[in-house]
Amino acid sequence: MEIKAIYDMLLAHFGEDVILGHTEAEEGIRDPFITARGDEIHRVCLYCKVEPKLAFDFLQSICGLDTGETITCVYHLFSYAHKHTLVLKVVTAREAPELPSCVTVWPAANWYERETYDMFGVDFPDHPGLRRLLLPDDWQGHPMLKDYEEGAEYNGIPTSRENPLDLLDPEG
Amino acid sequence: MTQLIFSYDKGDEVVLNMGPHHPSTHGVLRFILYTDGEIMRKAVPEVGYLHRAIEKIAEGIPYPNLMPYVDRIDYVSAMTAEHCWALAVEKLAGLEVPERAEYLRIIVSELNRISSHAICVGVMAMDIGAITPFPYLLRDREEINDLLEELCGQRLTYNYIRVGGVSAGIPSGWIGRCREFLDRFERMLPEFDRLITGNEIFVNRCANICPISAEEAIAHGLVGPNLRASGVDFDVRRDMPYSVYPRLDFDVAVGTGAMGTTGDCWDRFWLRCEEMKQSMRIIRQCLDQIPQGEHYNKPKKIRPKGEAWARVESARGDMFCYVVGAGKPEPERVHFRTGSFNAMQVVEPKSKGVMVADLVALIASLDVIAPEIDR
Repeated sequence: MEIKAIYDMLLAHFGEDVILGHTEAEEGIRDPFITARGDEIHRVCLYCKVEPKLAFDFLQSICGLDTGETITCVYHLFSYAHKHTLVLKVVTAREAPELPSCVTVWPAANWYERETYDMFGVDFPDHPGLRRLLLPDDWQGHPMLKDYEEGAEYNGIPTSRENPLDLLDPEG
Repeated sequence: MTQLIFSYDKGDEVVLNMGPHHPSTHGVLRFILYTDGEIMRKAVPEVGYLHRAIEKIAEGIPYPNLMPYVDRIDYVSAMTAEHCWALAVEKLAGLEVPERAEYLRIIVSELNRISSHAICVGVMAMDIGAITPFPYLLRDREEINDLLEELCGQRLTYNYIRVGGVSAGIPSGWIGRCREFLDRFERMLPEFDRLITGNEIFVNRCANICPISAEEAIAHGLVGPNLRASGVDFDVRRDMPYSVYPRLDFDVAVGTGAMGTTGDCWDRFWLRCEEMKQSMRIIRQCLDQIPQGEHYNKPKKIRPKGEAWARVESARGDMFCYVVGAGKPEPERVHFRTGSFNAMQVVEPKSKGVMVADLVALIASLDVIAPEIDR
């Protein structure tokens, strides 16, 4: 299915309050996407999975995106039956970002959401075990945010070092 | 992370630490095992030991400069990872690639797939206790490394595929040497099958161990050989074609449960052996078809705006790259989702009721590469 047809289907089912728009008209966008309301993402995803005409059974990735004022989460869906792709975007506040978890829709969302929490601080309140995935549990901050500043040291280990090439400089 | 290394205070349950430097964890990877005797209640993977923040680094450097970092995402099959990044940027920036480069990309990707699968099946046999097959496969992989070194100067992390083409053309006589290798390796595979694939001890250790059904595999997002071993007939190269794959003729192997249940450890092992044969078919066709001409269409300035995703069939399955540009030389956001990431997720739900020794078979058969999980 083309993105326009998927958009029309979602719009007919959920209405304009939930399905906020799609990108057909915008210029310079290579891959089209549909924007949805953040706190309804679980319902939208469940519909995308169970509706036979859509049948998005594979959640390819959840990717956080720091746009400066808000945090956007991008869901890439794929259907093995129909071989079509859907890119869903939801926006959440930069202060205390929060989204419903999709683990009950696709178990694969478990680690994706843990990674998004780890890197962007997005909270998924109904996630079965939300904790950091890649960074240590006692790490401070969420490093993929654009305004993240790395601490000078972590548990006594310095996080930077002098450039070893400077030692080779005969004048320095 | 769980602070416990050993704890005996939960009745029959023993909490054991496995890794991060365990020989069968294929990199730096840690499991916390909750066992009752030899039977496991669950195994919880703890990842992140090889986290190198490649996605963060990408936001600070120009698009083409990320290529050497992408190599390090999957160092066993770096060519396919490079291909994924190149496809994403080319799609975003609307770049054309010379046809000769497309063929060269496929030749090196498939050579790399053979070497990666050779490592996987060899290591899996070794993890289960058959040490002999592994050195034979290492020997053959060495020849692939030599071929690729001749082409681009590197043996593991190649930095060969560029945005807009590939970095170097074919040295004289290389095609002939590549064909010679394929002929030698083709004779090797039946010997390998005799040695291990049908070996009764090996089959008994792998058949019916940790079978993953097609529904489970899709729900947990398994991709590539792990997905196909569960009986799902899907290959990105055939079903979401990219590059010049539509012109090539190859079969997609699917697990059938020939020795036990569909989607068991033996199916995952056998499927990779089959894929090596198909890769050889693809390389032979490419060597026949490769046209003359330029191999690198160097882009002048890459400042794309918008977003794009790309998928390739890497040796560890469907590798996904999502890139967002904001009209600057550096990308705004880059995200990679790799086959090992999803494969690792499935360990916890599948480890219930499994013997500790069979966990090693499960991990080996999923062909997990630790830096691919952590990036």
